[in-house]
Amino acid sequence: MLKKIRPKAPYLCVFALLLVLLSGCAGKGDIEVMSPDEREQQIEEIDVLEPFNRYIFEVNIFLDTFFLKPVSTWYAGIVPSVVRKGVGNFFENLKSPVVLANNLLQGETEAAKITAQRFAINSSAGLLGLFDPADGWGYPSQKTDFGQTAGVWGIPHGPFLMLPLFGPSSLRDASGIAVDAVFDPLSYNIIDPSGVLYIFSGWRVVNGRAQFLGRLEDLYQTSVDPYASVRSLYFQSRMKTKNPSVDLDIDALPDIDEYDFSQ
Amino acid sequence: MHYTHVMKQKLRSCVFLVSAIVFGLVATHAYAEDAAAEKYVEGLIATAIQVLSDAETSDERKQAIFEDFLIENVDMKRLPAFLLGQYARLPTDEEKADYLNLLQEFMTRIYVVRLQEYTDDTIVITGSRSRKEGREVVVTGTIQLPDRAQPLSLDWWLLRREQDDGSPEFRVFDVRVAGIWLAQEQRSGFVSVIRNNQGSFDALLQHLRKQIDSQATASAQ
Repeated sequence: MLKKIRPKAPYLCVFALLLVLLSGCAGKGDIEVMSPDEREQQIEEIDVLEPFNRYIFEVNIFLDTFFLKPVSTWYAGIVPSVVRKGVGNFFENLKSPVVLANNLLQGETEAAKITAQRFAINSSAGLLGLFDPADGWGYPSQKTDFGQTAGVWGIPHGPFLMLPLFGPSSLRDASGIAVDAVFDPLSYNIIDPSGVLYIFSGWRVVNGRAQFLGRLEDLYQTSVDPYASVRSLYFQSRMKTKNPSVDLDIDALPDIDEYDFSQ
Repeated sequence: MHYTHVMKQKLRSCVFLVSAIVFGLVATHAYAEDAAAEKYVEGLIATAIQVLSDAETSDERKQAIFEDFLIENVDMKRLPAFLLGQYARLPTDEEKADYLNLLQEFMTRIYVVRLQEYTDDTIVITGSRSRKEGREVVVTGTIQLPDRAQPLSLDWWLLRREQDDGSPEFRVFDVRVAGIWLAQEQRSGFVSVIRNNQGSFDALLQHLRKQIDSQATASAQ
């Protein structure tokens, strides 16, 4: 058994090394709680690989246009939305070990308790996670990941990265993906001789993409620079999920410039 | 997975910028700090539903009505400057005029057609909070999508001023969907275009024109 989980060890070593390197970058401030002006400036500074990142962004669009989208379109055509929703719930439930581990690593014991209860309820009453009765019973999702755990520990993002297939990330958050994989049952496909886990992994991706068919194009129609928008959205979404249960802090909203543009 | 997650955020953002203002059935829970602001948002939604869900009205006509609706209800004095970030004072008067016209058309074209797909979503206003001595109000709410178990948070950031007769007047400054402030996201794109073109404001105008044209072409097909 020990031998089987060994493939994860190199990833963890890389992650440990990255954490050490990133620790040396500390002191830049928490990008997730900055004002829009400060955040833009900070994002600009940490996107040191922007030309390369933009290239990867285009590659991702190409892969989506010619592979993922066609497959997802076909999938959505034969699988009803109610089934796709259930499949989404199932995969979400399957990631509960990842969430639980990070709840604990962040010291959020109450969140960890809720995650464990959600998993128990949805795996049983929710028919192996196909349904989410736990949410209605007062056990909302406590979704988090190791990138956020590292953030809680004071590790800064480091350079912004556009990852092939995975999309926007940072050195810290990309490193966290390796740690999360240790707790994600589907990531064990590399030691699964039957290949079933590969199928499940692919199914998870296609099912997720199918929820948004016809809407990805909106990204390009509503933004003059889709890359910059995705980058901004990434950091805003990390800000949101860092405190998923905390309501909007209106005192943290930026001051509005009184400059009247219409005059 | 991160890619999918952020794409989802963006897609929701694109879809809901105005659907936040526009579609759905509204139920109000009365623990408001600013009942007038909540009522204003309710009115926005009801009016927009009436306009955009009318099967008798042509798309062209809806677009014209919706443009007036946006101009009347979005803060077109401060929002255009906010979207330019550090470059707000860069354009000449002539460029400012061009920019305002293009921005209005850009916003209108994008949202009119798309929002008609979301008539079944239910928006619930849950309360409101004010700051700056009541000059700014955030109306909070949720939107329930048919394919999601849990509703998404949905907030309207309003600017308020007293009219001569003492009644409040509101304008929408930004909308927050699932934790994403949409004007802030759009601003990143605007600023990036100007910056990556050596501070050329004309580059942004060209990008806006290009996108309006491509949207018009897509609508015509």
